[in-house]
Amino acid sequence: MPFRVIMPDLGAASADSTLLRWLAAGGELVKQGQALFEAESDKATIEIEAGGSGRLVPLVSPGTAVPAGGVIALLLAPGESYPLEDEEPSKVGLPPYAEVPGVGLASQKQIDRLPGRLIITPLARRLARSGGLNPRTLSGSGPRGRIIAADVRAARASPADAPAVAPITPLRAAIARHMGDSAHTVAPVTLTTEVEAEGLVALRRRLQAELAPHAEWASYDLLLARLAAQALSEFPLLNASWGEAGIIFHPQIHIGVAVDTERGLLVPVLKDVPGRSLAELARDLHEMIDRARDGRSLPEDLAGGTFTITNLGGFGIDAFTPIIHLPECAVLGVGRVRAAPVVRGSELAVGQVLALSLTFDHRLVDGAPAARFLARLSQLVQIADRAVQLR
Amino acid sequence: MSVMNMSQAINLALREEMRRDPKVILLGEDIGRFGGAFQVTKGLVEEFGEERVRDTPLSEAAIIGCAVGAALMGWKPVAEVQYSDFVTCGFDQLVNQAAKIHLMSGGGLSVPMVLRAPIGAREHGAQHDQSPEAWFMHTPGLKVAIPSTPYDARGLLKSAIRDPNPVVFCEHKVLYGTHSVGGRGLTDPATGESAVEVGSDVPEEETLIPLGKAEVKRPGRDVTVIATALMVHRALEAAAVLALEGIELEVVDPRTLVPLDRETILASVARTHRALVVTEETRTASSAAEIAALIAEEGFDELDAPVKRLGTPDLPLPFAPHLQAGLIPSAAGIVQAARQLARAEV
Repeated sequence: MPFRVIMPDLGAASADSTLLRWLAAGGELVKQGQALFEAESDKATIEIEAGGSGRLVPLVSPGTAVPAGGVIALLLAPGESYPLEDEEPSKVGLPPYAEVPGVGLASQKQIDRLPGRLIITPLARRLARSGGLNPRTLSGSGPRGRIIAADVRAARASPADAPAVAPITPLRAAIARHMGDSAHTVAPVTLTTEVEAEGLVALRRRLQAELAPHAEWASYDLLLARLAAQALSEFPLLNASWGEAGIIFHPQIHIGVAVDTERGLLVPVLKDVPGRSLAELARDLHEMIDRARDGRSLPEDLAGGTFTITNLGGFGIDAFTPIIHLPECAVLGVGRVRAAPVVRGSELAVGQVLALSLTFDHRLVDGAPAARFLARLSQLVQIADRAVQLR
Repeated sequence: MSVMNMSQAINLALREEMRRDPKVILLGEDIGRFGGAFQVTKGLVEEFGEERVRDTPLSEAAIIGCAVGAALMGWKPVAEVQYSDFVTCGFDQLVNQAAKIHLMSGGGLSVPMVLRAPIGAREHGAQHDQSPEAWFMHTPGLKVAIPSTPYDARGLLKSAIRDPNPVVFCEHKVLYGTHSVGGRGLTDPATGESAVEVGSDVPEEETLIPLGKAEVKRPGRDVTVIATALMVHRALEAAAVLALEGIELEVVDPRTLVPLDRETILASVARTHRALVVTEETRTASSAAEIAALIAEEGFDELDAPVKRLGTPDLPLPFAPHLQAGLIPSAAGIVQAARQLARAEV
């Protein structure tokens, strides 16, 4: 019996994951543990290892969405062949490559999937050329996305200034869903304040020295996560979720840190922020951000947050109105740290200030307790250098 | 105009050519008093005598060998094998002698013979039901005709008899009993096979159809179906069905495989941009394979879909009717394949 390669449960909201590409060729001998394919859920792109050994028979072509548990390939032991006589077609999620008798596995269908290969009929190619159209800008309506003459004619018929329509990636769809759900569900209120940040700046310098040669791991996000965790432990309602049965108080504090990636917004989650050393949190956050930027986030990287920090300070932004990451109760928007005039006693001085924006869900929390939380957090930022132990 | 079936049309062509040219003679098993296995030569011995309508021993080597020799001596023999399957017993005479003598003699000799070879499945079993036209097509020096209608059969056979080179004339057994337009009995009495009306009545006046001239049996804009012999009729039936769905098939009948009318085929594909080739042969290395290759090579820039073929699977045909029927391309199969092509599903 051949080994069945199945699409794993990537732990995402959507039941389907997309097969991005095979990392071994059809017919190749695959060894257990070898990287076999890449799959993309609505949150993460993951490289999956072969769970068995054998000659690879891909059953699903790249770009196809497959439910968790769906068979996407077989690994044939020596002496086994495909098609399998005892195989029930219904167990295989999608039509196999070798559906046409006499068509081998190393067939056109695989060649078509080589990176950069354009699938287009000769007529469509000729029409595109004569019409001055770049075939790579067209989308194909034929089998396996093949561009046919009708696609070229349709492109010609549409005016040159027609808006470009880009397909929605699974990540974009997930972001849209989450943002829409949040906007339609919560009763958001945003509070902003400005806080003197000398203590925070000093703490960061100390941490940079401590983490050398990885000084760049000492980010304001990391320090604010630590400070927010302390404030959250004193205001458990801000570390809660609205649930059907009642308000759910989370026993642990897991803080998400929004990361801008080429593919879109991702939120890796620092687990148990109060319970771990800053150095350990720094390394963890650095690695998760790297994975997010490379499109290789692990499902657990992106799950389980109870509060989120989002930082636009790097873009020169001070205050803004962040959107709550459901099912969390609140999100902290972090602005830039900048030099500004501050009043100390009756003196005017040049200080470092930081704008903080807290959006909270008024369904769970009223304005006064949320304001007290933000005030407490501001106080912690001011005394950060004394409030936070490095080890 | 006369309404006649293909058997009668071939008989008429033989009679006309024998009246026209005293050098035309017939050779074959039981073609005289009995009138031939399929009654194609009925009545000819009575008009032309046993010298010109010769019953031969049961030896294809003798029949074809004598025809080659007579042709070299200036006669115009029309030899008949009862089933094209049996041609193998006279294959050397056909392939190594008839096909090659003209060129091997530097044009000094010619073999103006016709070999009439009944083809096609009619539930007579693996050794009587083959469609071996590709064997002949694969032999340089032979011309190959394969008519689908009484009108075409008459006109093509007359041209074949007058041609100075050897011509293999493939006659589909199921079509012997079918009529031209206006006739009744479009269903073959022996098999119940239906054949859609096609062509025109066989005219009283002499009509020649040149070898190498295909005919568009039905014009259509969506898919070109190139079909031969019985498959022309099934393609026309499929075209009638698909017309109800708004899909227009153009049915092209090459009529001769050698010479092949490449221009008509390629011009049709240039109009429809989709091609389906349907023949009754087993698929591998068939005339359909050759036509598909022609389209891929020379019509490449016109194609908006892969060239598709329908044929009989690579198997000896079973005798049992219900087993045989499932193997040979049907009108329903053509409908399905052409529909998929038209809808860009393949």
